Amino acid sequence: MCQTLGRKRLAHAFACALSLALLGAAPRARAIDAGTPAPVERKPVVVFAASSLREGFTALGHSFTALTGVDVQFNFAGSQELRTQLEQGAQADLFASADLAHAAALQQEGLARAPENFARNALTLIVPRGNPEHVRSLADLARLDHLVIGAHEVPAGAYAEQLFALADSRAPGLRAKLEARVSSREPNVRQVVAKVALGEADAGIVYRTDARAMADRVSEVPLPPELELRCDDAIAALVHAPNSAGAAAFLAFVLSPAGQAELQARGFLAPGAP
Amino acid sequence: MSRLGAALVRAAALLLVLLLALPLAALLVHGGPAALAGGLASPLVRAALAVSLGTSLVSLALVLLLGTPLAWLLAKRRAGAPGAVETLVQLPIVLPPSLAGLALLLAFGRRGLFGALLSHAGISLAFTPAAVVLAQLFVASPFYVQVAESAFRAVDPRLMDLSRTLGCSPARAFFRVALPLSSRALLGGAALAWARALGEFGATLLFAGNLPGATQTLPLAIYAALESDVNAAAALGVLLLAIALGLLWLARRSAAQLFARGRREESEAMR
Repeated sequence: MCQTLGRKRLAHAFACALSLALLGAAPRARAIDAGTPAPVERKPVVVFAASSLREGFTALGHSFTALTGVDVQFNFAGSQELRTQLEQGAQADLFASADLAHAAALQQEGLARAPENFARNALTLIVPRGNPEHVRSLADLARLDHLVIGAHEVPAGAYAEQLFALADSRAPGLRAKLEARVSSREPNVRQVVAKVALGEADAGIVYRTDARAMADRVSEVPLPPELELRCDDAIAALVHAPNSAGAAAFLAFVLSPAGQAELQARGFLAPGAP
Repeated sequence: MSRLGAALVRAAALLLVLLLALPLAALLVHGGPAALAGGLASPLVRAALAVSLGTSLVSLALVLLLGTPLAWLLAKRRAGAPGAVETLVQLPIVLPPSLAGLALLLAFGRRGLFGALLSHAGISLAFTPAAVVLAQLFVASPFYVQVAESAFRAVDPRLMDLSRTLGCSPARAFFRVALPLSSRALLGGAALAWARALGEFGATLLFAGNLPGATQTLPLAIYAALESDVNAAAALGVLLLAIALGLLWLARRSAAQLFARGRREESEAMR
């Protein structure tokens, strides 16, 4: 009895382990089923993309797959985190950053090819939906309890610092007041949005596309044109891409009229747009 | 067992030992003495160390203060199937910390279930070291309560009865008999809980945010440093590793004593 129970347990554990192993091996198994040898261009394209690109790139991925039959796998995180992962040897085909700096740094390190500016974004101010604190301007932030921005290494955090500096040049002293209201520096722009959406933070500084993607939870407070920062999104093929043909194809699709239309439908601006 | 079988067993064991040892060795290689010295000189690291020590010591005090009575009450009930409270106390051990952070936000966040109640009382936890403490308390206290409960269970009830017949009040009996007898185990449980509080990451990031000097603890600083300087992150890692080793040594020493006592009592009972 004791032994059968032990065996049963063992069998169960083995079945669990086996199913996990099979799950891990599933893509390979499918490639073999689809016909041997698996054609190289059927390999999925692996794209490391900035958090702010989540909706835009997910949609692009679906269209690309519908068009070519090639899967696109995304790893969304803060651009600085993705860059660290790539520097530490993570395998991917493309890197899409929310700023030029991280992509350019990877190029300098010999890990990425020349980055292409594929879209622009605008920095904006968000508050919990309905704007309970009646925030109308950047100066209003100085009276709030909790302002949340990205960490210094996060593109959205660096842009927020630029915005503070720009505001300070127009209203001297504002920068220090705003910095004093910063309660947290989040690891990516979507965590900033989440803190505001939850009502933990009174306001956050994010991209306009983030505000639109979460419009059911947060409200956007438009900034005056002179304070509207433009942020460039950059994409680069990686030097050690396991699927360089797939990388080139997806990059071309992002820059194509169809890809651009898809991004602009989600609030992104064309590269170089005013 | 055949020679092949014995070799397989050894190979499997060695593989796991290597898997556990190699990452820590790599940490030591990256975060060598020079990196460690450089890291300790950086104001960000010092701020993170201060936040970590401050919050985790407050958490530890709260764990001891609130966990000891709970463990005592749990130990006094008759042994049997674990009840609802036991399950509740054990649950944070197996929960992912990000889930703990989310649950804390939904409960004590400004718009959480009890957020309005707290703000009426003039308490705002959002983005404060108090939120860090709460996150640490949530994930760390179960480790202490578990150990303390089994230690209190191991106290011979006849000793407690005897002290009562000698005129001790229940409180005096607890402080003069149960507590001294369990002190080593309690120390070990406290070391485990402290280590867990020091290492807390996910719940802190979600619930308390990340601001250097206020809520950025050592694990959060490692995460942040990784994105600018891997060696600095490794230096921070070595620092945490050293603290963790010290706490593990403390926990083990007391566990060894507890087991030794258990065995001694067992052999006496056999006689």
